[in-house]
Amino acid sequence: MSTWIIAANQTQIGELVAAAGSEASILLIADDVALNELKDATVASIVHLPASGPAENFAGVAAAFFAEVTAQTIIAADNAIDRSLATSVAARLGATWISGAISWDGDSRTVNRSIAGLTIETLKVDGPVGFVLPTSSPALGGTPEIKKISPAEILDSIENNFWNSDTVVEVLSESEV
Amino acid sequence: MKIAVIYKWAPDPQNASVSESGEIDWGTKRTVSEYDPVAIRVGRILADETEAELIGITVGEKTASSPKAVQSAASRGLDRLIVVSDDELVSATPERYASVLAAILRNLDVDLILAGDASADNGGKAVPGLLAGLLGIPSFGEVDSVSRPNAEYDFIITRKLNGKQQKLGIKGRAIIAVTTDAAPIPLIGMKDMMAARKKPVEVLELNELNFQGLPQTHGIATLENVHKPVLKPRKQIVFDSDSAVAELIAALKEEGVL
Repeated sequence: MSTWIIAANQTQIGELVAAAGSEASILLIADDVALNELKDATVASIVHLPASGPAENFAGVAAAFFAEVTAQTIIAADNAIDRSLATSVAARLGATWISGAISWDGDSRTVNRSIAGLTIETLKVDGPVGFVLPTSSPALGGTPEIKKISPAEILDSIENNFWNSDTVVEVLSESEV
Repeated sequence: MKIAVIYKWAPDPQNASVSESGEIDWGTKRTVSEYDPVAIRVGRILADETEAELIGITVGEKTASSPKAVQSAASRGLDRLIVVSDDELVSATPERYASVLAAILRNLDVDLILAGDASADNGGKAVPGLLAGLLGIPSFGEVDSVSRPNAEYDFIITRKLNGKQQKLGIKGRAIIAVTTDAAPIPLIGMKDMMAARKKPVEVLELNELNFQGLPQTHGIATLENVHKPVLKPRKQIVFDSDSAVAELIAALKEEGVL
């Protein structure tokens, strides 16, 4: 089964790797600095989509990529950017979204999730699903295959180009707080 | 110009009870979900600045269209409401909520869609992103401020990420989920409640919506087990010395909380 981490927020990518499992691959939507930090992550492969500007601009491209590789499980770290990306991608693909996930077992394809902290459900999943996971310790020490791709390459490779948005979003400034 | 605010008529987890087998009884009380009044307030401020119409949209169980429910939402400053109320939506999944909202919003031609930070019950923060995917527009979560400049951008938003504050310019439609810092919530008075009774409310049923063209979900999640979470024992540590703050920080770091 094809398990993918979608990651744009550099600070939490490495931490998510352990939770996703060593069979997972990463679609990294970030700059070369982030790729360098992950080059020995314990995952099967990393597909690097070099990105500048807000990562949310790339949701359509990421969905097109996942459609092409028939991703069955899409996992993101639990932060605003990665969650927005992953949910948006899941909706475009028609993947079932599982809210409140707290752990994932790739071998049995089961997800534990918390409902408002009141109860915990164990779900067996089949077909395309997506969820965010809380992060843990970084899992480094692997030798993933690394491939670089461009948005144009992805979009050119599919017939239906409905994935992209007409909305333009630009970073105007960034400052320390 | 039109601004939409999506809100939820939701149960409060504080009123919920959990059986020994882990089943949740949410009780019968419902309110406008805790964080949604902030989104409505942000929408009201933007609408006043731009002479836009502010439309509240909710999707939920039958009581979402009760007079109490629509008055409670309208009194926050909405110009009109669209409510899809159907008991088929009692335990709707996030993608079901999103697909119903998308079926409404595709026909509304709104310029901006606002949402609260999370729903009070499930709190998964998933619906804005799922809705964005269905509408083919970007979504942004945990946004601290939304403003409308006069020139190059339709909206400017700010958010905090990884110790940095980021300012983004948006040209075109987007979905923005705001934090509780985005606007102070004014108290609702009798005048607001009386005015709310006069706001137009369009109540729809699911079978009146057109879902054609929206992607259908085809993953399956089967419930195998449900149980109450095992609570960790409390630490029972009291820091009361002159260096209590430093001791607390050290203890939190040791536990991996900080």
